[in-house]
Amino acid sequence: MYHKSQYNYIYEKDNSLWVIYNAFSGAIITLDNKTKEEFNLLEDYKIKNDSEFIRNLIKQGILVDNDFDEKLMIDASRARRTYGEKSAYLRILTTTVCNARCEYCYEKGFKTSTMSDETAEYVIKYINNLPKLEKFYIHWFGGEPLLNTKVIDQIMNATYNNLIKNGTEVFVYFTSNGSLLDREMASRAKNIWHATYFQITMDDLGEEYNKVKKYLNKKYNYEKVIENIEYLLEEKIRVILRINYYSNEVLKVKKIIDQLSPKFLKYIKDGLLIFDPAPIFETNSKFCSNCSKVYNMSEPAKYLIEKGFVNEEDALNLKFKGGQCYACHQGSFVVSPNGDLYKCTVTLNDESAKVGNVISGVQRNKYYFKWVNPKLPKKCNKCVFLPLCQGGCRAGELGYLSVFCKRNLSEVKDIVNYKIDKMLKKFTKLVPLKDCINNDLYKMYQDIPKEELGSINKLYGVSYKEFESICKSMIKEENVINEDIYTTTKRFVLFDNSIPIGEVGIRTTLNDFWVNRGSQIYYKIRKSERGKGYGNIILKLALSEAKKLNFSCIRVNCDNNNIPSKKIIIKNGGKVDIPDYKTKEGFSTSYIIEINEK
Amino acid sequence: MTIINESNENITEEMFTSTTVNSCEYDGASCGCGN
Repeated sequence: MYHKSQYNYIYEKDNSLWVIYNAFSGAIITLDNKTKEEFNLLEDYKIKNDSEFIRNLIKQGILVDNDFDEKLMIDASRARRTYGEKSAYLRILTTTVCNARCEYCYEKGFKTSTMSDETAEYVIKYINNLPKLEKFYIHWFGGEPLLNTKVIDQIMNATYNNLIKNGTEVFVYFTSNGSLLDREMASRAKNIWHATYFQITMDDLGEEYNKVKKYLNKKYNYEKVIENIEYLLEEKIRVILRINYYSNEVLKVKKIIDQLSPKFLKYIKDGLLIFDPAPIFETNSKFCSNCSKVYNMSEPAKYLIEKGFVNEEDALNLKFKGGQCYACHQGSFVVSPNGDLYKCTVTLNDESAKVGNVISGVQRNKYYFKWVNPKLPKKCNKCVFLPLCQGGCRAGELGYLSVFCKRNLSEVKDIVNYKIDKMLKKFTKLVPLKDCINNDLYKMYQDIPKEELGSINKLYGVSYKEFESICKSMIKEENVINEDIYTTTKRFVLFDNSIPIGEVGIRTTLNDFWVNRGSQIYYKIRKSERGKGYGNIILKLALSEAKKLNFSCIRVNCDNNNIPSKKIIIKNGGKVDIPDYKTKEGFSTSYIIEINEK
Repeated sequence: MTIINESNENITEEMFTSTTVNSCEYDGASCGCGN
């Protein structure tokens, strides 16, 4: 017997198209009203594997075996990541001094210090005394880590070869503003530091960038950083261009991508240069799964996907997450410039947050176990998105940041909707009526009511011969004005794969009536394909055909009772032009859709 | 019923085999540390 997964996130997307996204399995399915009703009627813990529908739901993890407890699996995975002994991660701060003054920096007001050669020797001993590891991560951090490259040389020279000899896979990360690099240092980063990647912040372009970074010495500036990035790329070191932005700065992100991508195109294609837009959480926001605040993190990611610069799976990730970050891992630490060990960089200004140092070793005190503990707050244990975030940011939970949960309803819904729209669009297209007159199309018109909401289907109930003849007269109307309605009409059929779904018409000769009152686009979806999101797709595709016909805006009317259609028009940018006007059947509203931007 | 995204077949690998340590919980978002 089976029951419904506790990680099913269910909502109505539009017009009776229901979505189930399972945060545990990652599956996304859509249901129409009828199958959604069938799903609702399934009685938990008594569901039998007795139909194709049920088997599909089981395969997608939407129904799970009564013997299977997903929550226990998630907790076990997180615990394994917390106590795992095969890997370790050290985030080493060579200095807390920085040559820039970024407005958003969390280290403002922190005491400054720089690592001495002596402390570096203790770091070396600490690393060389670690147990045999499968994976070891060194993350060079600051301040600006490249202000003290001497200790990077010292530590890498004395540890890297030992680690490799022991069969450890070593990852070397840098978080830097990139200003202090030059050709020689880029070569050193490749050959002595064995850099896996450099994350370089690129928060704006040109003078605007300079204003954000506020370098203390003017010789460090935008042009210099761009030049330095090229040095790294020439050495085949991956560069992650971190674009930090506030919620109202999505256009800025797009501008940076547009400006820099032509210059770095070959590196982007080789996967060496990666744009990484990251929203800066405003400190007054409560960012959690129960919060309605919309902070659309996915907009820049979608832009990168459309440009082909990033893989959709990576950029809009809705996959199961094994555990929390390094701060919650038993053997991973931040090493401050004076050799103290902390669990997370944001705690560095808190003396009580120390969990040892590189000389005397780790202190497994009470504070240490505030981090190294897979236990989560109550609200996380009940959250439908737990498999995606595994409790979020512990520093946030412990009060160092104002937020700890980074998965909110609107963001996840937005990503799921994007994937659905993209999938549906992949197989849909508009075909001119003249190119698809056949028996399948005839059947489609028999599946559209003869009369519905004031619209007449002339092809309903006619013989196939009459159907062909009426279609020919409809095709003539592309170039010859139909005297009954004083306009020409270009008609298309929406296909999903080879199945005709509906008809859309665009009025192409506009007199005063069509400019000021008439609906320039109409569409009809066959009954058997309603509630699947095709209304939205047919209007979207028709608008792009209208754009090809050089229309800059389109008037679309909708009966006030036709709620699904009203929603589709508004979703596609419809603004009310004439509200609630009287028609034969009741009341309608006339909308204008600007299509210049589409 | 239309399947938009198939269920992830590698969950078990992610749960019980992977030895990855994630860099920062704020991956994909910034707490202001530049990371």
